[in-house]
Amino acid sequence: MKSKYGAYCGKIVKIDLTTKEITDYPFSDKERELFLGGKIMAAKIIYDNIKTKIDPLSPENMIVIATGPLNACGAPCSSRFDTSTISPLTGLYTSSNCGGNFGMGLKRAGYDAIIITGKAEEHTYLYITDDKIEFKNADFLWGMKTQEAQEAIPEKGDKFVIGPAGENLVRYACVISNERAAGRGGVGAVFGSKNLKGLVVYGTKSPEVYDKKKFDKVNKIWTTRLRNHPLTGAQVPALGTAGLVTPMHAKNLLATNNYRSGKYEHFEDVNGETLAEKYLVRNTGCTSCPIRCARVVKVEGKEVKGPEVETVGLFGPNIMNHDMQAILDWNYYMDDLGMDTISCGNTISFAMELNEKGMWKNGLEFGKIDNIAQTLDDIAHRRGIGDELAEGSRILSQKYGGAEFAMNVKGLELAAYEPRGAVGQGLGYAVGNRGGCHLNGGYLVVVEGLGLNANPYTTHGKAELCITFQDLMEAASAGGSCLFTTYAFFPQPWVAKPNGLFTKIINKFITEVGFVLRVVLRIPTVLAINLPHMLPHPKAIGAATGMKYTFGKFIRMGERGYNLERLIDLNLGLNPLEDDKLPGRLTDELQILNNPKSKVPLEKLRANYYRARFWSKDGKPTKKLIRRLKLEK
Amino acid sequence: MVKVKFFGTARVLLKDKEMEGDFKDVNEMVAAICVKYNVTKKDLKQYYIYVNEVNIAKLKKYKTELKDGDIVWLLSPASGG
Ligand code: SF4
Repeated sequence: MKSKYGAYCGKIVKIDLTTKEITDYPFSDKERELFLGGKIMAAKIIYDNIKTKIDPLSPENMIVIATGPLNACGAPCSSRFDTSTISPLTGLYTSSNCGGNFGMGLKRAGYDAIIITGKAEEHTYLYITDDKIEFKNADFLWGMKTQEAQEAIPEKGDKFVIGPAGENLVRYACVISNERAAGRGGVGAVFGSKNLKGLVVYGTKSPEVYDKKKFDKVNKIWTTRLRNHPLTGAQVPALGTAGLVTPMHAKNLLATNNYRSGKYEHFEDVNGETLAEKYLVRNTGCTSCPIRCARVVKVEGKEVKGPEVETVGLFGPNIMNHDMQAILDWNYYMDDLGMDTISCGNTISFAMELNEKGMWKNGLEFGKIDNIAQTLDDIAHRRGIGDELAEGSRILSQKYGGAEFAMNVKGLELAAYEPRGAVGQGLGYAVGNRGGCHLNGGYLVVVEGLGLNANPYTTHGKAELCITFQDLMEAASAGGSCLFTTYAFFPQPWVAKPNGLFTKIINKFITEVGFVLRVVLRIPTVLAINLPHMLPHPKAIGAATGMKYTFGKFIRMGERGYNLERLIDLNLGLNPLEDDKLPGRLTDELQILNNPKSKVPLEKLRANYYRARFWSKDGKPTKKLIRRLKLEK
Repeated sequence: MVKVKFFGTARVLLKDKEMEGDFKDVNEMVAAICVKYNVTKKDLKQYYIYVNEVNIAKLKKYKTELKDGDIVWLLSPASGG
């Protein structure tokens, strides 16, 4: 169905691997306006097609690879695309964002999204060109790691492949494009369950934007802002995301010893500064990115992608390891084997604590690192204890006990932020639609101590703030932008002068901001405002597509996406009061013995959150809200 | 001796990891950093200052006294993901 809007290809196809049928999937311009693209477009497709609980590793599951309007159009940080499916870790909706070039290639070949259903009879990869989709035999690729497989595919184009972990249905297997991962939620295992090794796409088209002059102007302002902002222009490029390790330690946010502490005595051995000084070859970035957060480091003499803060945290302090080179090596092995470093690291630290407590004798010990590389390989190939570790921490806890220190929510393992040092982040982890994800949870830790300095322990205003950031990031992602572009939302002086009087006032009152926005954004005239310098996304989307996008409409679209994901989860059997919760360690045990506030007061936060989302007391969108968001069937 | 450690963009600005000295209070330490690294007080305003792991905002701010063995951090606000 062709689109009248610019920046879209106007084509979505459904590829049935069982029957090898390829059909156009209808998606109207009205739907484009409401669901924009990326993960929200994908959520709409999945909501319309999967109505009840399914086995995520069965042919009934579907994979939606979706781009946003800004992909491949030249906006800054706009190579990011989404892969959405039902997660084998959670049984719920998951969407995994990736910065490789595959999404841009897809648009150049003329597709806004592709939907993959069924199961191929033989090992398969898909070759997608301008007007053709071919099913290719992948026997020669099966068993290959992700880098080798990308090189071995003979066709020219952008690749998106799984490694041994995906083939062997490791529940947290990922999919790799270039060196970038669609990491979370086990999308790689869903590929594997469909006998799908990957895809290669080659296109020669270029999506046309609606108003090129205006679009270029917005992008220029946007790029300048990203380059001049203290976070996106200085801190992130210089130190990468691992630059967070030191402030995380300072603010009791660095998950250590399987989340028994927020501080690690050897943090200086594994922080972003050490990474930059001792190991960094150079920094690099996704295509069209002026921030360039990615690190290039050396592993076994080869230049490879360096680790993010999550990997450093979970394979460093959280397993009591301060050997940075080992972290670089394991990070590379995991990407190459095709598995999510967050879930993997967290599952290993859980197994270490089970071993320490005598609940599962498995040979894994905190601080002992000589068996980690072998363990990673065993997980990807499901050998020995690796077969059990491949199931993730929730399934392990069902077998061996210890659910209170199995650090997952709804089956998805938490990131490296210890939420007892930032209770709003704890709320976000608990209520996140895809499980214990720091980003889907609103990433309040940036406001509660890392970027700004709001009171990390108060419950006041946190629910509203969490919702605001969840909706904002949801919308940015749907447009095709990297989430890091939203950090420039904070006015520069707030960050450049953290001790200034104005910033102090902001820190004191920012917990009111979410509430005020929630109220104000219900006034139609306010919905029409734009904040081009703080948040250029709606303006860029408007110029690219010709839609009338404003700040209000943008954030409302994010809200629609978030609610839609919840509706999918409810169809799949989510029980919010049972499932929107944290492991007992985080809600029942104090992080700091003499600080009675250092645990997450989840019940209160969650009740506030449901209320502020206009959900029922049991965590479900009300009929009125569903109508208001235009989500009725 | 007081040990002052530079983290985040402070390390990038000052091109150094740490310095040592005897300072009466944080004010005196800031002045010494300005002299040694040829930066201004305003440049240093962009950092949080911690003394023995406590933000000076919770102590006596720039008048926080320093003594032998204290460890001071200069930290920049950060984001990631
Ligand atoms: S900020 Fe990092 S993740 Fe985002 S687009 Fe740039 S390089 Fe990619």
